[in-house]
Amino acid sequence: MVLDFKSDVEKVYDEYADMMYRIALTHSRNSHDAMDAVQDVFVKYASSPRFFADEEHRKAWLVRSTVNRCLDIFRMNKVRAYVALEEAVEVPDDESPLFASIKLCVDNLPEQFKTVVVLHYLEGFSLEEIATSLKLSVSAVKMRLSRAREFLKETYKEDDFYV
Amino acid sequence: MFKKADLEAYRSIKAPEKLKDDVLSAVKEGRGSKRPIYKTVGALAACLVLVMTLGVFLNQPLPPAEIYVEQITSNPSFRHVSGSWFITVTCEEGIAFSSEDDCFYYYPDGSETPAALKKLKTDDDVLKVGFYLDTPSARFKVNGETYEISINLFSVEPFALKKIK
Repeated sequence: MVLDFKSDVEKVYDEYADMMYRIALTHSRNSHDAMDAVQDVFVKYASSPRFFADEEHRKAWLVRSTVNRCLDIFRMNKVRAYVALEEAVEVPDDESPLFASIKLCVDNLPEQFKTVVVLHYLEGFSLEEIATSLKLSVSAVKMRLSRAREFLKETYKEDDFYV
Repeated sequence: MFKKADLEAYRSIKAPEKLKDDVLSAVKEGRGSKRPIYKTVGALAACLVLVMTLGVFLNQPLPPAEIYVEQITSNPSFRHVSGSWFITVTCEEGIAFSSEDDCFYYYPDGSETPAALKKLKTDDDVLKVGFYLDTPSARFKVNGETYEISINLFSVEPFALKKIK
């Protein structure tokens, strides 16, 4: 039984860890925080087995838990210490420098827009998938995306990385 | 929206190899990262503050508010569809809004989820709540008073609002 459950965790990890790590990176200051967030979500996943109606349900839970855990860690970091400016805009050194422009863009988005932009434009989620993952209505997701686009257009109209 | 090269760079990011070992051993031992203790302490502190704040507020009922319903679209064909109506609540000393019905929706900037309106307290003078009404009537509470909104699309005033005693 224990072995079965462990292999289930491993299977889920192989399927979703890359996506969860990328989402965590966009919601964290650095790769260490992102790794901690992913690790914590898997420990939570394994510690209290849940019933998932289907694979979409499981994926939605993992996405929502990852985002929430990142926000927790971000808030904890804010409480624990002030960080130097260069650390605050840190881009993980082990990632491609091309990611830096996306990271900068996403970091400057207001919190309520960030997750929908990451899931839709970066991870390719449909509006319905985002609505399920974040427990929002589809119209709320559409509205957030539209406002995020306006925000990015206004903020980066003179930069070349936003098209 | 983003450049193709940037997107490809993003999508090529993989979780570090080391993470899998960390996760599997953490799962085996049932331990998370080193951070959860802060969350627990934070949650306890937040609960304490909440209990103290509630203790103060429970003894100070908010004054009655003014409430009216307005149409926010000029196109009457939307009337019997849904979603084109506001309840506007005004009160200078803060507004507490709650609803047990799923038809209510926080509208002004779309930033709040419907769940937030199950119990919302704000210091603002004005609260606008957009709503969908699929049933003949629905109830909500403002500053401790219960109101019922009912629908009659054949009337000149399609919505009636009354206070429940």
